Amino acid sequence: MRLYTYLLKLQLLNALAYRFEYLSSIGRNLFFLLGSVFLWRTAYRGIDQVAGVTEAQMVTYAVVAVLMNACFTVSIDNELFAKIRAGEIALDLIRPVNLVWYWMTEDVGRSLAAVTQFALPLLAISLLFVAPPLPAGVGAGVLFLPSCALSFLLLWLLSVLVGMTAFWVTDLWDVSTVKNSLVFALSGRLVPMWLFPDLIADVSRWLPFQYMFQVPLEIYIGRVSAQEVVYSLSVQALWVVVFALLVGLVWTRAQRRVFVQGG
Amino acid sequence: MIADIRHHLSVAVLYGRLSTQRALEYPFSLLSIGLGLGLNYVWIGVALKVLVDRFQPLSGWTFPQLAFLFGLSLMSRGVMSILSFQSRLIDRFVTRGEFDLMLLRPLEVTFHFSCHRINVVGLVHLGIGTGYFLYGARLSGFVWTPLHVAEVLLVIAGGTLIYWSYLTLISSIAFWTMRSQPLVDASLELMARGTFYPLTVYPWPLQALLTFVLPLGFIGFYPACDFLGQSANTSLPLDVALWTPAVGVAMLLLALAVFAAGLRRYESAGS
Repeated sequence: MRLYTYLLKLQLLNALAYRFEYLSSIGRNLFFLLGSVFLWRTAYRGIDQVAGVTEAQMVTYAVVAVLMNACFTVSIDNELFAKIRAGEIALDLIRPVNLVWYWMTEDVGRSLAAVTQFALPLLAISLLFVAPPLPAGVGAGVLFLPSCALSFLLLWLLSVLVGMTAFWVTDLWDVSTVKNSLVFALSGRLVPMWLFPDLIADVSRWLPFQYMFQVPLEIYIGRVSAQEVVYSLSVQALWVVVFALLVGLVWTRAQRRVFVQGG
Repeated sequence: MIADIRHHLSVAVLYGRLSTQRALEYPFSLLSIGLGLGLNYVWIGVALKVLVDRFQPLSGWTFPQLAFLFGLSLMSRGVMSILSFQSRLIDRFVTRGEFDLMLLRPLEVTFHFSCHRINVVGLVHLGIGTGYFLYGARLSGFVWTPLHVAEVLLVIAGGTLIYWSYLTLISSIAFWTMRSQPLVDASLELMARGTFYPLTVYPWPLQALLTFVLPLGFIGFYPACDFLGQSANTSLPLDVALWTPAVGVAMLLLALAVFAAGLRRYESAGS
């Protein structure tokens, strides 16, 4: 456990060392945030509510979605592709640690650093343009946290699964682009799935993507009832278990596939 | 003069062929990027349609008009991406010393840098952009006269220059700071927000920023207003329409000057 705590601290310090990247990342997220907020304000001009959601709720949804995305610094898929391609995975494999936990601790560290490093400054800047994006109530705020944690886990497990494909096909370097696009489209990060035609909304309910952003966000803005929150959290947890089992299975097989070039 | 142009063209074609062959060596990679990008752009279109259907025309723009604007912007982005994807990668060239080779060869460096890679993935931007544009043009009453066709081509050329110049300007910061990639990534996000929707979505300070400081509004928004007879209806005191090529050339001159100044500071890499 001490090892993982040390790794966590290392990632926190690492994240604070690159100021240029930091400011640019704040800028990128801010542009996305402003784009989303003004888009929703324009859409709602003269309209009270759509699908039971008011403009204020939707703006909060958009702001918190950007903050969540800024915190979810999951890059394990790209790292795995790079490591496997360059043979550096061999160094990881001789470490006396559980590698999947090791990689996860690194990304958890980055994400925790991102809360103070990105989310809080972004939130402060966003207050110049929007009202404080408060949760619908204390309960909604409290339940948002476990849902958010499950979202992170789900996103991370999907990413590590995509990254592990490199053990079989190193050419699939850019398959992360497809994953990112699917998450962008179907997670409800930009436009919630409940606004889409029934067919698309129904299909997306059976896919894991909307549990990565939309579910915690709709809990936060109070769009779902207490009963639905329990259901949503259960489905999220179920997806996490399914993906964790898949990762375990793939990782067991992947270790037998490792080959490294060079002497 | 003609022999000179012919020589440069033949070099560009040769580089184009080489980089296309190199890209085709990795078909899975090409397919993944193409699929990912395509999915993104199709989804943005679907999301815009949903917004208009469930709410109302966006700032007075119907879905076909939004598709027209989105397509026009995407086509310029596609051409820029095909012809000069590397304009966003200057920091890599600086930190790895990759300009050394170009400075040694008997070829003008800016030309060499700009044409040494053809990015086939840019065809995805261009293809989807053309699709949106044609769809939008058909349903929003765009009149296909020879003059309009010439104007559209000029706008795409001007928009391409604005994209290229903007990315080159931002990316050239690496000549001074060694790092510019994160800033380029942020700029790409700003480009998306500044060109995909009507500028009237934003309050006037942002409209002014996207018109006078970073003139991304000239890539799609102002020309689309002119073509579709939509009032620019910005809070800004100006009546601009087909200024895109002029803005593009002005941006190009600025970008070339900054790139040349940066190149003079270039110190190569290594010990």
